[in-house]
Amino acid sequence: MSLKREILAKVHAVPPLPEVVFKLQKYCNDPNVSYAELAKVIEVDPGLTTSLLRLANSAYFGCEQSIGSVQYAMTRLGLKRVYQIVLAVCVAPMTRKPIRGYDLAPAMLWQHAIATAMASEYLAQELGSTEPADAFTAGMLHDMGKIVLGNFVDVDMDKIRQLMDQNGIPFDEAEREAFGTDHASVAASLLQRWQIPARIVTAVRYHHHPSACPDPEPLLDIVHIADVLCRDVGWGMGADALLYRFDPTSAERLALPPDIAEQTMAEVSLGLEGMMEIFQSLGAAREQPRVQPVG
Amino acid sequence: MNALIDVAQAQKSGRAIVAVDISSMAAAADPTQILVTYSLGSCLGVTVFDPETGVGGLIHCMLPLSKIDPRKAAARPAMFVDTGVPALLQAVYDLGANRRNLLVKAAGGGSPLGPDEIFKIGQRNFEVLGKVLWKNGLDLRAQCVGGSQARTLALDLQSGRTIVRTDGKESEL
Repeated sequence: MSLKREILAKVHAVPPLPEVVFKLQKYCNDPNVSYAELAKVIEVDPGLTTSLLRLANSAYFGCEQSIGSVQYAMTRLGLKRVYQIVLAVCVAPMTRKPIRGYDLAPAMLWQHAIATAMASEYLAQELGSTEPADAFTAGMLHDMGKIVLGNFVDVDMDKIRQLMDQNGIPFDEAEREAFGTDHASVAASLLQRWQIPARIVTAVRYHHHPSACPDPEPLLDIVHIADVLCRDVGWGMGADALLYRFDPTSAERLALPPDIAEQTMAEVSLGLEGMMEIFQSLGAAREQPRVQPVG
Repeated sequence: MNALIDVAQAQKSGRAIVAVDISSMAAAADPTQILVTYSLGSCLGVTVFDPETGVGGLIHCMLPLSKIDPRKAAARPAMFVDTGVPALLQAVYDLGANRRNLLVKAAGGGSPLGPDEIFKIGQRNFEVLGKVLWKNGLDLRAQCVGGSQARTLALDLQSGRTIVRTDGKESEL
């Protein structure tokens, strides 16, 4: 079996997301959906309900009134936000182990994911060119390929370093030469399997190389810039963090206003600690998600 | 020389590693402490130490100027070089440090994503440090700034040594 096929087989070995995620995703854009009915889909899992309510009441996601029920969370925060939170609760446990290869300590991948999610959402809000909720989701999921590719990178790290040194290429290009695929493409395959919307999958697939995308949307450029800024600061820094190229196309296409990079970093910096604390306490409360498949 | 920034080794010898997060600072006159900050990319780490009193401090600033968001600067002065470094100086003076003895060193302020990166935050962080020190009548004694590596910066409050770790190698600043 070629390495690439072996890697894709590992993508299929990643546990599927619980049915509740797909149900929420499906009803996100349905104006006739009954919140009362949909809330029941979440409430059958007490662990998921508790986690959702903790996050719904966090400084980042929350609103002034405290949210005491799933249905109220849907009304106050909107279905997209609830979907996003449930997705985060289900994905976070997969990132908790240290990621070999990329030399990411436990929680570092998740710290980078949440920082990039927050930075993407802020950029989307400020630039007004894309849906902020999509930006958060794309930012959160952009590096999920590393949970699969990490073991392969670990085995072939010397080869990757050699390819980078000899050919003067960034880390993702060395991944492609060594494996026939890179962590961004692996993430895209994983997200397709999880039925994540196509525009988010495209943004994730090209997040290191936006100028290569045949059909770029602002969402892609936002995720590229958000990822760059978070690596610049050092949120969730792995062995590969500084070994990618900055693609100036994204900044040009977005016509970034002055100071936006600094505003974004300041915004994320204030919110990130609180978010990480909540996720850490949720993780300590339950090592694995106890989400029951329903429907 | 034993590695200074080694938590297990430090604990064995009765030392305490005090980790300083992004947009935070620490100041102390406690010789058991080693102040450390990790993952300095474009962020700037600054250490100050008075060898006579043993008072020292370390800050990890993320951005150059607080004018982009004075509200955040008020909540978190250490986030910005122009508000954080004066706050650090005040903190060590409050602990008894003397300005004339103060050794100031800096690390970080890099362009971790290479020369094409347009934001130049690392470079501007370092420029603002120069202005803040000038205003306060202080010189920069040593520096390890710029470039594309991530750095760890530590200040040993017992010996006053400032150590930079890059790519797993420690060197004294």
